Amino acid sequence: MQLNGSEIILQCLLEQKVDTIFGYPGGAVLNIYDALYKCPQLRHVLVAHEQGAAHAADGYARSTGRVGVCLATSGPGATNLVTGLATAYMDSSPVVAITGNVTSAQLGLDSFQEVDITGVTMPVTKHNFLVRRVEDLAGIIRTAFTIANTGRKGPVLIDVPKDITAAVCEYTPVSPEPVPEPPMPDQGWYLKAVEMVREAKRPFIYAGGGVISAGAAEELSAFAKKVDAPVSCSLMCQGGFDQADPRYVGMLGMHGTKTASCCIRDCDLLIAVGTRFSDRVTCDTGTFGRNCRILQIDIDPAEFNKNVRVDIRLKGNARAILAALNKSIPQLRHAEWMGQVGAWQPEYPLAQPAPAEGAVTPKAVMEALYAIGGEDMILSTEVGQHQMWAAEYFTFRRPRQFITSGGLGTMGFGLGAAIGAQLGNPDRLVVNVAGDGSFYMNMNELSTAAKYNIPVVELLMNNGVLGMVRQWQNLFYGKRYSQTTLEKKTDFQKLAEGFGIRYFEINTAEEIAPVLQAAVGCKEPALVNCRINQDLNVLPMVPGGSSVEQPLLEM
Amino acid sequence: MEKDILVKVTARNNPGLLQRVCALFSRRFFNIVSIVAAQSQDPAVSHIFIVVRGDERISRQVEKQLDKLYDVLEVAILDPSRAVKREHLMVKVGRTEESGSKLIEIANAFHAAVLHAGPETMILELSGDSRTLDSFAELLQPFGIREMLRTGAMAMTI
Repeated sequence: MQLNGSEIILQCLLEQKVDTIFGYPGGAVLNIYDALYKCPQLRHVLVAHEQGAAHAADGYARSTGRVGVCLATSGPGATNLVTGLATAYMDSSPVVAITGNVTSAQLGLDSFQEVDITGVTMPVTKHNFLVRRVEDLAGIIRTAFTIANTGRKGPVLIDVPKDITAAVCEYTPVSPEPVPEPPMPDQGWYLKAVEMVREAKRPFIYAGGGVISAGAAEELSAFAKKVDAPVSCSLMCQGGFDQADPRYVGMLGMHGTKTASCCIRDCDLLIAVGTRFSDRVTCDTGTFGRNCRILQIDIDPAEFNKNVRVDIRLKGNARAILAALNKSIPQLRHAEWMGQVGAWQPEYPLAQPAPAEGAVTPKAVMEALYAIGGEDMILSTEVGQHQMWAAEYFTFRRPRQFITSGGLGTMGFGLGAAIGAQLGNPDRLVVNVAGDGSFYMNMNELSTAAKYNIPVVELLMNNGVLGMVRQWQNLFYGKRYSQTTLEKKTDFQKLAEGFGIRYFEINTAEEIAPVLQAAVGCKEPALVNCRINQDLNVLPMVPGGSSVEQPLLEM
Repeated sequence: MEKDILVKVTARNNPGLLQRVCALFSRRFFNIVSIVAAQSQDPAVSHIFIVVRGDERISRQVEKQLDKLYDVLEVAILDPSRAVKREHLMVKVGRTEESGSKLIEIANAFHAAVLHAGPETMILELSGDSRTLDSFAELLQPFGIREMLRTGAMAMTI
């Protein structure tokens, strides 16, 4: 059938089973929005700012496992997506961004709202396209979805000049082909890996976001039992292993637990699954894993020996490889080692004493939130102290429960992501834990939550300071709190009312549970202003340049 | 140990290909010594030859990171002992009545071509590996090099 470019874009999205897109109109995408007007099968969510659209598409993708889609106009609309795309890129999240551009004849002439967005986004996308002919459009969109959602996942941008969105050509619907399974690793390496796991006396499993991306959580759980080993998860893998399982020893790295750091110090084999050994995890790479051999499983061969030297590498899909290993490896037992790990756990608990009698601690807030929302809820975060507290003190039970910007560390990510997650998971409770610094970055999206009555709870851990930076200033800069004290005059109650959302306040420890319960129970978008002490720190902490084996337990 | 690594990239000849490859090198802090983009028999496919300075780790990273680019079809790190390598040099050198015959002599010794002979200058051309080109340029130095152009390396495996 004959369709114009705009209709082809929408038809191709429907081919991919897209139900929701996040976007913002503008001159270069007028034709697309006109086609959207006549396409009720696609729900379009009008955000306040294109950055919010990119984060929402990302949050949708992370929470559902399906590709998230955002749409923006040319020039500033497109550049506003860039932080969101970079965030998705660093965390390997499948997002397809469609941007309009000026007409083909106006390209390159510094036309109004023209920007070379394919040039701009090259370093922060897996791939991008500038569509030159309407006949290429459908093929490009299908390829973009395949690129975004295969191998190591990531964002793809498609830039469409305005004349292409109006030009007409023949369109034939095509159902997406099933994604082929990536090949299994080299047999020689595989057999060596099996041997290495069997020989290990003190194995330690360290899982990253690839476990969630590959849908390998069940296989990981079975693998941990089979190998009889403790498990640590990176920030990106929170929920990839059930944290209520006694094998779980907490995070590893800069804000990892002392138990995890003892495990990396004393293990003789580190089995790293779907992780890229971020500097936040390895800390000083010279001492990381110095006493053990390392077996790395990853879909991206460029991650082998990039940050850390590994002994055995298995390239492929984490789920398929773990499933195969579970068949190849007999039931192992490491009673002495597991006994040692079990002894560290109570010796080094994650504690957070209240700064004063009856004062609110983030730990108590996260525990109360878990008591209410449990394993069904989705928790997203902004970036900073509150993010680490959420990761440390909330008990994540299942994959895709925790949505956070790990690699890029994007303040302002969480609220948009929470909106995307809520729309992708209408029956789940979604709470965005925010610090007040991050809150100010993209709070405009509260208007989006209000407009569509998206019942996300914005849980503001309000300490009036940029806590994480302040913590570093406290430790390394002689308490010179340069520009980290916010001292804003905002009345959060009026702000919530102004946006048309509910407002709640937590000032004391005893208010935590009932107020959270009320905020969750109202089933409307809500702001919970939870006041906390500005001198609370994130602990344990490995200062920059130090060994992961020596975290500070107090400051 | 740092050395010059010759990388051959075979890629779809899409718009922006060279930009993608260069953006990757810039983003990953790989040092490009030279780069040559060359057409293949198939106009839809082009070859890019890049000389990178780095150690073994850089070599592996260059190969694997390039391989992740969607347009890239194949990446090969060429083993110098198993490839014929060629660079191209054009040089404009000062010429006097006395020096003219000497210049021709040097050019003949290197099998270089004389592209232009004017009253005051001469333009010579030579293809070869980088060491040959270096010594050719060195021998011409005393005559006064007015202008010199050099491409990066292309190579074919044996």
